[in-house]
Amino acid sequence: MKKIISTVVVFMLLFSCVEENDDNTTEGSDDFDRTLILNNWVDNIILPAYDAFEAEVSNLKTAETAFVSSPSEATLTTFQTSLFETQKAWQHVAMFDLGLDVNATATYREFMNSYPVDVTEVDASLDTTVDDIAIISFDLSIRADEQGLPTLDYLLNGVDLDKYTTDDQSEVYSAYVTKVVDRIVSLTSDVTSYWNTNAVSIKSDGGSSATSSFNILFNDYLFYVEQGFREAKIATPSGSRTGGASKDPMFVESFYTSENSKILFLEAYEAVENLYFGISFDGNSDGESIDSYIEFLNPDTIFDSVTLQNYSFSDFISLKLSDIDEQVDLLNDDFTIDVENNNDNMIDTFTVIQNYVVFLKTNVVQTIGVTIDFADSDGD
Amino acid sequence: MNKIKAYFTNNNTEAASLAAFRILFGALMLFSLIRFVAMGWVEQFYILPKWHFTYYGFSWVKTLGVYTYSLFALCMISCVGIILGFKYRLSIITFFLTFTYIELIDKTTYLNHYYFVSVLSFLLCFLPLNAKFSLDAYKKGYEFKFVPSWTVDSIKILLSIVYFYAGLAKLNSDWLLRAQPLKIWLSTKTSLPIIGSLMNDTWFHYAMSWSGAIYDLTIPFLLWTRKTRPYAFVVVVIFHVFTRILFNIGMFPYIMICITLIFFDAKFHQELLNLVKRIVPFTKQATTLLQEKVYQFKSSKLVLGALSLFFAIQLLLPFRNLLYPGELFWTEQGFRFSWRVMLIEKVGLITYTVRDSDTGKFFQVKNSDFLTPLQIKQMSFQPDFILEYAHLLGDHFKSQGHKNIQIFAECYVALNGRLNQQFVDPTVDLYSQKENFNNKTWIVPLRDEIKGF
Repeated sequence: MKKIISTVVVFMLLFSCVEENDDNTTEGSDDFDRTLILNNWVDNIILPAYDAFEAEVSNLKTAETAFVSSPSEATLTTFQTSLFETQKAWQHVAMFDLGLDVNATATYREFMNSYPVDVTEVDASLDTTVDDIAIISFDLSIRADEQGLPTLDYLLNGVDLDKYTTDDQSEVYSAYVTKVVDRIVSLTSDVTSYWNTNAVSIKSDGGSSATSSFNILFNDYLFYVEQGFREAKIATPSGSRTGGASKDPMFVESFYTSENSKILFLEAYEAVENLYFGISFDGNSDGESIDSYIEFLNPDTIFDSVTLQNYSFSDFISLKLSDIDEQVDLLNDDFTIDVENNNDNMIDTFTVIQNYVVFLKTNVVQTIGVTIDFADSDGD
Repeated sequence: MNKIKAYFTNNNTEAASLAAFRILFGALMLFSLIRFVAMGWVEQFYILPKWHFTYYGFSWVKTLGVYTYSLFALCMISCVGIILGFKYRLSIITFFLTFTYIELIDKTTYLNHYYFVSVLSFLLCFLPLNAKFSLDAYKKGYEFKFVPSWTVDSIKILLSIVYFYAGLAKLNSDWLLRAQPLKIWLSTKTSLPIIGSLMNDTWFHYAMSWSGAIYDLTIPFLLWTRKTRPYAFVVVVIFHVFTRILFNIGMFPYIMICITLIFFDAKFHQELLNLVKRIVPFTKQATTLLQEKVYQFKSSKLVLGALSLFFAIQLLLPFRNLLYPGELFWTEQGFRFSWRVMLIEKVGLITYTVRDSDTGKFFQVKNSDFLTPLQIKQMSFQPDFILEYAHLLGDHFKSQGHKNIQIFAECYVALNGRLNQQFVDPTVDLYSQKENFNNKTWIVPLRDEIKGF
């Protein structure tokens, strides 16, 4: 009797040593690796990317002020160039879609880069008065595609300069441009200050529960690769989901300067690769990330029953990425040309990206044991 | 034959074992239920979800919405009845019905140990757990010292089945020869204190897999044998403590450790009761102890008949997977209710397309519009979920005015560290497929073989 009781007592003590971890609190597992990854992500990728983007946005505001005060070929060109630089810098922050107020009706990415532009609505607004422009509420999610970078692309590259100079509505055009840029500035300021304020706590939250920063950032990454990268940039314009039937060049990113669409895609692709490998924003260092974490976990080799070959995890990822590289090489600088004349290349690009996504969302997720946007609960 | 007959008619054991078991069981269940409610899981699992995944044949079991809390309340009250031995039969039947009803609402939350609680509480409905040290006995004014041996033994047998079948299920090539899925689960636990450094070692994955299988297969026998029993119990404690540290398995280890106490002598259980008597006032109030009387069943033949059937089902049901072709871990046809615990690590990715067969127009479904994250996770790799969701979607879009609906799924699943592969035939209209016990031909076979049970 005594022995049994003491055994029970001993195990009760043992239990009490273990943190209760089946709720939303952080688990004690793997803090070593995961905080290293978080530190690398936040310090070497996210914060520098936001710094660079904020600088471009600030240049954009300067260019806008100059353009609005004296619209000319010269100020327009500067403004257009600044927009392009901002769009490129944008690709490196787009996946870290946190930081807007919880009550916001859409996310930062949605407000910043929803395309195609709702030209009908924008034109309708441009047909009103300066006072009407002032009261447009860009906070509404339905107006996400009447603002942000795509709308600015339309206003600068899809509209003639004389709309800002000689046209009767020129003041309204200018007011709208200013409103769009100011909105970009204020959203970006909110989000960068969110990141700067919370960087320390985000980096220290290395747990593996559904609400830990590692989980949130990794899920954001997955979501971006699927939605922001694969769907928006490739699948939607090419109509990949309909075998091309629903293709529409209007859906290409930066449609009014579509000659830049591949450059923007490649910037985004670089950001997608960099996060996986932990390569810093400046490209100079290679820190801890998913790849080194998986190497540490040393999973079984992968047998591909189609090619009948065994691969290490990192070789398999490299293979998937080189498939994307090869396919992207075939694309034109201007994706609208591919959509119109060579849409199969776009659809094949979708397929190779999809292969990467599926591998990420199944095997990678399984190996690193991340909860993918799922609630915590008991298992058995 | 005579021996068997004699066992059922003459073999008796002390009623103290059942009384102690009753109190432990009631208390553990009460605590589990309180914990479940406190975690906010009633709301999360039974109130918030728009749709629920039901068990085949039990789609009539519906969530009671916010009144699910009253179901939990009723279940908790029945636990109190069980602990006190007050209107025991009514209490345990209420417990069995309410607990099982809750489990049947949504199979997303299926866990083997919930099923175990349902099955065990069903068995307990037939046993006289209130023969001694209960309010029922107090009211009657007398209690029994003895009960037929088979009453206590039937609990031991059920527990033995759980262990042994769990062990049998581990005799497969993934578990023994690849140390999967333990390898996946353990390698991410390296920061645990003391044992963390072992977690990423291949030998440790194999050691855990093999010892787990040996443990499950042998522990029932070691517990039955008097000589090995104390050592076996120590092993039980160590094993469950280990699983508690490593995995998110809630109350299960506590339940298993406490329930295993049934294997000990009546002397031990009597001492537990004495302990209660010392601690809790009022319980010392004496009732007449019918010293030599054995609890008599009113219709023992009926009870024994029912329990024989119950055990026959328990013994056969876990083997129903043999009736299906294909890889069990992949298709999961016959996987549940079979004590197949911790055998598979699966991750799925599924996208549904709703198509108008007339116009060919289609669109894709955002799963999070209809399901909770946990439901999406479970749905993405279990065929019966995939089919049920296809029908829920089809019916939903039909009610929205869509016509000629076809539903297709693009699904990829990774099993136990294998490269993901297509899971569902993407050309099959799932909306036209009916759920039944037949083999689901639209599951793409696993391009590998897992040998063993």
